[in-house]
Amino acid sequence: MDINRVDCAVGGANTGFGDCVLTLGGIKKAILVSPDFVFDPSVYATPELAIAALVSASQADLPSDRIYPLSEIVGITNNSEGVVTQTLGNGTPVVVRDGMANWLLQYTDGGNCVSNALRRFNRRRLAILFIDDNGVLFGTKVGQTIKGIPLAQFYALPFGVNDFANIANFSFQVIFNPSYINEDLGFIQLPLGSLMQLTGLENINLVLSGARAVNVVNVQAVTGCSKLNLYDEYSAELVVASNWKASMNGKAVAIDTVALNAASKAFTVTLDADDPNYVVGAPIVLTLAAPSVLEGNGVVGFEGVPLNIA
Amino acid sequence: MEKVVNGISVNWEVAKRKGKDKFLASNKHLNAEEQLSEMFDKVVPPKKPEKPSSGEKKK
Repeated sequence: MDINRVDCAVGGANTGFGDCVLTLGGIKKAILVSPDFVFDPSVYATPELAIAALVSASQADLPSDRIYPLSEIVGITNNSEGVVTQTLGNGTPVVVRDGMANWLLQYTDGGNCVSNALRRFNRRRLAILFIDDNGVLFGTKVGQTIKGIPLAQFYALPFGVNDFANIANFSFQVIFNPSYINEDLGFIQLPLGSLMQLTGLENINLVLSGARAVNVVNVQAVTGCSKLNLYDEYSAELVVASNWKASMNGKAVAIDTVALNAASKAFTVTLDADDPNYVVGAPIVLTLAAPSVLEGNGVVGFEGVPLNIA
Repeated sequence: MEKVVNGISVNWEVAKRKGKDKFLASNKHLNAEEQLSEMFDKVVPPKKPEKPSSGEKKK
């Protein structure tokens, strides 16, 4: 390499085009991902396998490895900054830079529950993938892979009140450098129906259904949003002992048995009082096993939220 | 999937470590002693009393 030499590559590019070109359609869905998430379509032989990989990533055991499919987008307000120009002394306006993309995306599915979940992502370091109405999943191209568009800001807004003329408004704002989806656009077309079915994990909250008796607790398993007791639908699957985890003072304590309690539509969980980590009278933290373990036992698409029992 | 019998699922690693008597005692509150006993015997068959070997001399 020479010093003091300007790279004078020929600018511009040919403007001819064929019959089949990409024109992105309306955005139907978004997926929040870690900035480190990489989607490499070349790994997957068929669209179905690519979709399966996305489903798997949406249910990853570690939250840091997980992708978070959001509800269907029902409206977009483009608040993007215009091209920033400076007017020179002689009156010539010159472009300083592109304006930042600033989109406000509205959704309705999931309502306040999803809104509160999304607000926990506010101001975190995130990236995002979008899906248009032709099933084009797009982000930013890095080598032969697609990564999420790095966000300068993600902000889920407080919900807007239903004013008798408009439904409650749920929306989130994304701000990013437009180069990520212009020169650096990366996309792949997949079946839209399958992409729209991507959903995030649903929380299972454990609720005490009676006083703790030494090393025995009775808990109901209810969904995080609707508080639906899962006993009727999942009692046979959830009762499996390997679905349950307990700890005391931060150390794992083995489960002895789990039994159905039909009267209170709950689960009787007996901890092993002989476990070396069992401490008489110490608080118990009870939770469910990792999503992959739950899935293996027939409880698909859920993650347990730990319950502290004094 | 692990075997669930009449709505009870056992962590057999723990149960085997405890032994039958202690296992049954620690789950008395389930009021299913007979069932748990049967389950335990299926997973951990009771040992048969050893017969004296043919070469052993009778005293």
